[in-house]
Amino acid sequence: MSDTIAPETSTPATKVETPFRRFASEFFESRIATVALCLLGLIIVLAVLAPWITPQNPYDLAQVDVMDGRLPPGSEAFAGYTMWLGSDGSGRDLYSAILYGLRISLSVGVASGIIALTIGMAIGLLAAYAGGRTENIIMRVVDLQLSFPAALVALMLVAIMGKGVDKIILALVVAQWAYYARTVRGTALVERNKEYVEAAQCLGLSRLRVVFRHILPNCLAPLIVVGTVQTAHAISLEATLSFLGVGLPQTEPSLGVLIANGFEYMLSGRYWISVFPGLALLLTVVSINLVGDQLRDVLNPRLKK
Amino acid sequence: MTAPLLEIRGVSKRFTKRLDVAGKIAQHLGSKIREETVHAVDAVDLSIAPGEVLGLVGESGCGKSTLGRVVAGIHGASDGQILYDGTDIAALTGAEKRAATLAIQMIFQDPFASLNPRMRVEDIIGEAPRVHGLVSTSDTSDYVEEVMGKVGLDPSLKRRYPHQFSGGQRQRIGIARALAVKPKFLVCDEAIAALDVSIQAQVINLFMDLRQKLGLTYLFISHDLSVVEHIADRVALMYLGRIVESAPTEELFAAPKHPYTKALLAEAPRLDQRKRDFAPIEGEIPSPLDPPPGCHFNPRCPLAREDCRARRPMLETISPTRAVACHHWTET
Repeated sequence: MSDTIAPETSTPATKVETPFRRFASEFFESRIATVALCLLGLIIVLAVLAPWITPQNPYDLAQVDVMDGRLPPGSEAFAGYTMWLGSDGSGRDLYSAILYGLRISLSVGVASGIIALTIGMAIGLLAAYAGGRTENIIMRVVDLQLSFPAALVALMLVAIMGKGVDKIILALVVAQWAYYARTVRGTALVERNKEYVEAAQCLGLSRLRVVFRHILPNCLAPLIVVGTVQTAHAISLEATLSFLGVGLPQTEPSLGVLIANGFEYMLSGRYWISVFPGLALLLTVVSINLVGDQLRDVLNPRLKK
Repeated sequence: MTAPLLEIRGVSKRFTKRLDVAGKIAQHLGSKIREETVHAVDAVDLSIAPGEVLGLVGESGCGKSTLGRVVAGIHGASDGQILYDGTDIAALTGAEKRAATLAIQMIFQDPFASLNPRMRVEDIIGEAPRVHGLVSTSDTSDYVEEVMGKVGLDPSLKRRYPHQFSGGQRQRIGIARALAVKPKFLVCDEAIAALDVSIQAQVINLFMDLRQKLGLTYLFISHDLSVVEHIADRVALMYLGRIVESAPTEELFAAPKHPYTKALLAEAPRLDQRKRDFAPIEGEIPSPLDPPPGCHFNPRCPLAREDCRARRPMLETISPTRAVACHHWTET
């Protein structure tokens, strides 16, 4: 009995198969998801680098010339550079405005996603671990919240609080935390009854440690999936609010504001003012959703072949 | 006889499914819905001497795993006491409670569900001793290697994750995790039932080895009579939440007293009886939601009479080492 038993996997010792490596290889099996991830990466890079790769800062009124208004794609601006995507009614270069708009849209989406995830996760874990009356009350609030359309909740909150990035983020968090809470509670209930949790109790580990070090890491997979999809949802929700004129102010145009600005010119044939920001929004949301779908397929063991 | 290391006194465990608001209204309106209580463990007394291996045997659903979990402190008992080294564990606080908790560890049935899939082996084994200060953070790594060596695992595999191991190796990781907090008492809940037969023998041998080297005491829960016969010093038989017979292994297998034990042993497949037909014990194990009155075994028992349906037979000491719970054991 003293001899040790060799591992059955024949992987060389230098390349240990970590869960992450396995996950990555499965993720890239889908060509569509790979393309979507690359596209999303590109969008994020463009948005982050916007101030250095655009000819104009659309927020700086000194750089915006009304004389450049409504120029078609490919025209030359007064300042000398070419506006490849044309310009909008107030003379902003659309290429610059879209990249700056992406910055706002993405950061609003990601920030509200992270805050909603943190809050929802804490509430969901509390519900699953406390059980009984606490759980009942929390889950009924979640049900109530989910029975309202998210757009309606956000619209009401923004109408009450007014415009601004911080207020939009708050509204999106309130509209979305319940999805995270329900997801975490569901998985945590399953995980809580597994034997490794009993083993941790048996080893005298504290409740906090069991919840955060043992149960939570095993709830992360569905949470990541919901997180991606909800982030995409938050971005389109923000665009909707901005389009309706209750979201971000005109001075900080997100993609939704840009689309709304061009809407009035659609019938006069100046399609580019709305269409290009719309395409940017579409590509962003679709690529996030495709990545989210593939994450769900890879992370959900029940869908494994 | 020496003082027992662990004593179970009148321990019961009930699971109650409470009615929600809708259920209460339905009940009020005359529905037959009621609160359901399962007596998973019903007033069990057992004691286990230091260094002893007690086999706890019974059909599925008889409450043996629940009893194991109550002993290991995963479930609280509804009634009764668990005495470790003469003191009631529930009455302890602080450091003493922690010492008692760590002294009793459990080995689980399912080698897949019982290891956290997101932790490396070194964290699975090393977490508890580090958190409880049994080893310092800097020594944890060496300590984990030492414990892995004890259970026959290659210490160089400590950076791996559970899914990279086979069932037998995973069970060894589970054993190492328990041993890492230096327990005196191990509850093995069907610890080998999920393994291949060839691996079962290895793990049983490991248990026997550890018993000798570390002076461990075991509560060995199993439904497999041949395994229990091999490993246990004494056997307790459980039926529907109650202990029906306990005796030293050899005596029990040679001369069973309780009609349930007899029926069970008579029908256990053996090499020398390959040709005969086996007759299953008549009837099903009754639902623990609605156990029969009196002796739980009476609907299936060949000796059952009026008093069996009226009174519960208590566990009666019939010799210094044996006990049986039957009104009519002398007739068998």
